Amino acid sequence: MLRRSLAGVLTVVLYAALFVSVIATPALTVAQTAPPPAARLSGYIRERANNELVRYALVAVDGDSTRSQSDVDGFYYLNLTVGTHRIQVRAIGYTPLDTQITLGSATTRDLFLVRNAQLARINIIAAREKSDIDPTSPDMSVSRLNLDIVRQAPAVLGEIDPLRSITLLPGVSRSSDASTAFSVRGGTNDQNLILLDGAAVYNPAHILGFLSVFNADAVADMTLYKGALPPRFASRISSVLDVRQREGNANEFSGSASLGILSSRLLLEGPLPKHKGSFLLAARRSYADVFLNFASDTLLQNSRAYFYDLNAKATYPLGANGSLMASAYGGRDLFSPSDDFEATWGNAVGTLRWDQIFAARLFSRVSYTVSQYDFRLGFSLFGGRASAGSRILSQEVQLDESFHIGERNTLEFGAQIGRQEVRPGDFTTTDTTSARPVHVTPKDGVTSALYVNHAFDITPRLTLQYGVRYAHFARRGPALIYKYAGGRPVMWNEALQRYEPSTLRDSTYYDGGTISSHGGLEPRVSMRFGLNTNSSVKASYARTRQYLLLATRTNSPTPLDVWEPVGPYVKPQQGDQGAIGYTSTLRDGRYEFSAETYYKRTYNVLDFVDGTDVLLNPRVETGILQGEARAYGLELFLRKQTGNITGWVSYTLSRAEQRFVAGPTSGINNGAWFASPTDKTHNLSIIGIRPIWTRWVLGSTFSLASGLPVTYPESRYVIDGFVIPEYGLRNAQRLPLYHRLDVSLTRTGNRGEWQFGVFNVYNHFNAQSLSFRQSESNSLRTEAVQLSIFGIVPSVSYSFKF
Amino acid sequence: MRITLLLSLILLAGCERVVDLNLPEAPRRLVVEARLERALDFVSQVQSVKLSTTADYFSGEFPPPATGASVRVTDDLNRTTIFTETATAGTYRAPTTFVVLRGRTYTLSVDFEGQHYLASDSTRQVPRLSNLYFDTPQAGRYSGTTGFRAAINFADPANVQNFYLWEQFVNGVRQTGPDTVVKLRVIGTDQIFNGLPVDGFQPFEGIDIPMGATVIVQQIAISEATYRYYFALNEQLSGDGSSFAVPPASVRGNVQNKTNPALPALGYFYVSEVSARAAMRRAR
Repeated sequence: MLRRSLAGVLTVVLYAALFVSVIATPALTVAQTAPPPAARLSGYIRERANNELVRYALVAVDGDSTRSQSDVDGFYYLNLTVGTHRIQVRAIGYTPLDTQITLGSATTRDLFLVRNAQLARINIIAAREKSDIDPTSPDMSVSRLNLDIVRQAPAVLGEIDPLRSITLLPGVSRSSDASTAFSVRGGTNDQNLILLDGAAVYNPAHILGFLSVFNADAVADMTLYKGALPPRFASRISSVLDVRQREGNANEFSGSASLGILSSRLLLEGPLPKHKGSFLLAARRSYADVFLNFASDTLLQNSRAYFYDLNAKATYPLGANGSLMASAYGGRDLFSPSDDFEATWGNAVGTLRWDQIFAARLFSRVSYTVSQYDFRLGFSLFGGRASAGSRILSQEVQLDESFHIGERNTLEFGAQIGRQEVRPGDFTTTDTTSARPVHVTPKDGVTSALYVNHAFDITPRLTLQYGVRYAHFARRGPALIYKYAGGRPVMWNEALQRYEPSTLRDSTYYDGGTISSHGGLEPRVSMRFGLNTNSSVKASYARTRQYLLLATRTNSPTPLDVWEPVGPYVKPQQGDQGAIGYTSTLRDGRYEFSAETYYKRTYNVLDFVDGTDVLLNPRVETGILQGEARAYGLELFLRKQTGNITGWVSYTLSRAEQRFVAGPTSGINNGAWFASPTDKTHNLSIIGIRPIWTRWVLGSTFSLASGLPVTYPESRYVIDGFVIPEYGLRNAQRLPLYHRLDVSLTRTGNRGEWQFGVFNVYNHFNAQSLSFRQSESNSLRTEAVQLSIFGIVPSVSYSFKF
Repeated sequence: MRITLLLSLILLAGCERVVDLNLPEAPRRLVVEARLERALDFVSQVQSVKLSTTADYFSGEFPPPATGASVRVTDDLNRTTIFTETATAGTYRAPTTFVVLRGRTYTLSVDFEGQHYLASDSTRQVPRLSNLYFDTPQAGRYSGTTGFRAAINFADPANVQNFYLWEQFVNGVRQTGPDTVVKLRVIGTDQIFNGLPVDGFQPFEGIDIPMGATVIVQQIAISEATYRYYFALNEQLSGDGSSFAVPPASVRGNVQNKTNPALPALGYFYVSEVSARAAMRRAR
């Protein structure tokens, strides 16, 4: 079945390619009418020292007469003529390259840049580079995280975490200081697709969410797409975070190690045998249970816990025009408060990829990805050992083609087919005389998608990018599907003003085959109008659909969250987002500025019926509500990547709301709009890096944000001796203003680097949440308790290269 | 290592603090705590219903009783029993002749301050407790102390989904409440032991039974709806604002307001069979 669909998809793609080449021909003919015959030049831009790809480098030919830039894969493409050309390449942190190349015919050649350690360290760059807020590109709502800046910025407990850092970008907010989960433009955490070398990571959290699975040593580059998502990515409503691992040094063996407060890291890299290709190996392991001291619960403070992860990547060239890449990640957490109980969870992710350049203009990529997330609880029960857990496993084959019609005329198309296996809950025990196993019915599905995307300059000032993605998701057996009274698993009980599960009628067992089928077109358009050489106005619209949702009821995501694929009862989410923006570079590119406004509407967002147990629930659909969400905002971003002081200022003014309507005046909050849990009206981040003495760099970040929405009680009452708060309108109030200053000092030696940091310098206890409870000293008294995660936290870490 | 210690101290300091808030005000609501019980093992006690009202969140007093209400219970054979208010304000008692029957559906009707409230439930059968004894803590139930616990045996009936509520009294004192170790209602389903004998189950973790104490354990059969009510109640009771807690939400019960449907009463009404056993812990 899978093979047949794949064959079908490939056929369609080949036809599409054929169609495209026919369309593209006139453009080529025009290009070829000039007297000297055309000759294409393409290849990768790499770092001389270690052969690593250099993304987004700027390529200028014959003094700016032709310009191009390397793409997200480090690939560049130029339409030139036969003869000798002067090629200049510039990228952040590298000495500019100025070379001459003589072309006789279509040529594929890699260009090598030399990293300037001094320049990289303090980011003194003379010229303009391709940037994520490039006024010449139609891309918008894209943020690329410069890890060089992040590495010198303060990090909580000295643990540099790429996922924590992205919340310093406009439009991105975090709901908890204790968690790396993030929200993009008011969306939920599960609406972010997090990719590691192209493979989805389903729960990127260590230590109950405190750290992400991304080891900063192994990460080369992170790009966050907040809107106008490129059609090549599998659909999520809010964003795609594309994390790429480093390729490793292809020229010599080297390594680095670092010692931090929470964990230690080791990294090895070098060329593969015969100096062809490169590898990278990285490992990280936490120390004894330090972080558990954060917990307020005394039980947690006496427990056992650790995490580790391993990253591996190998790249092998296939002649001049191709390469093979294998990338893998594996990580696991263990948490055990006593001998009787143990919780483990982790991800295993892998990618195999073949890149090939055909005729110096068709960049072709075939990749296979696999990703698994699972958690398991082990405990004693009735004298036996019992185990409960959940698992998601997905495999995907993806074909991506990008056809360079001209330097600024690119056609992308491709196809995906994949399979997702979700085991929502399994319970087994060794003592079968007193307990029965529970297996929640599997929720498997097959995803398939086709996309095409064309970006070109209509005039030098006007660039258009348009595309469409068609994705299809089929829920497939074997599975047991329940039937409910009225055909709906949840009913609103008007008399009791509450949602209730519908009456169970019967059930149908599907041996195999399709249970339900979902799909639709997702058009994406963006355009750019250049006002002058340094500034432009951009606009975009994108529709996205999401077929895999996270069933979580807790305040923030936890390791015990279960993925819920759409099916007969749970409908796919659909998002429509429009954005208008302005970007410009000021003072010879030393400052970059962008402003964007957006409006986003999302259908079928999730909430849950009160009292729904998500874990091991065979009929979880009886607890799932679907409503709609809207979000709008203004994002301002000013960045300086060159000069003595580098950093950025990011400000977001936004609103995110949702509603769940059961009738004219019924539903959650009587069916009225209310603030989403992630809503932050104002969100300001300032990050600055400055060298102060020789070898010493000062970094600091300041955050100021509106408090998150909270719900206040209106009154209280007593049930069975317990005082229960009766809450008013949901999320109608707010936590106090959030503000925090962090400072770090980094000392770089020849091989070693010390980093000293102070998180929350002025020890401001920011409110994380507000809860209402009976006083422990007097059960008649009730009190409001504000929870804060961090006071002032000093840290120190040491890393060295060898 | 020293750094670690220092850090832990700093971090622990930054956790919880009690804050003052100005809370919105809301109209007074009726609160119903009504259970009709059919005791399997003891002589049935007199049935009573407790009515109170909501109060300001920071009031700090006993809940104001709802006095002067008219309380009636009607079964599905249309036999009405009037509950009369006792000397304890807000407590309404049935005549001693009123007995809860197996298989019947009962409707509670309350008239209070011009509003008419209704709720109904059917008697659910409960499997009998076959034994109550004392044992060391069950493995897998980490609860901090190692004293003897009350353990029960019963046989869960097959082919039916059962939902349980357990109560435990030690020397007459109820063992669940904000002042005890068990700060939740103890509830459970038979999802993992449907139709199996349950031996040595200790519903009340962390409660040491001293030598010479008399213990009563009650096993109460509740409906799925009542189970969900208590599950939601427990979630709110353990809502400490941490990542693992669910967001604050009102707990919605099953007592409707016929006069003003938008303001149902808070609380519950359920009818159930109760199996109870008593035992005294003696030296072996």
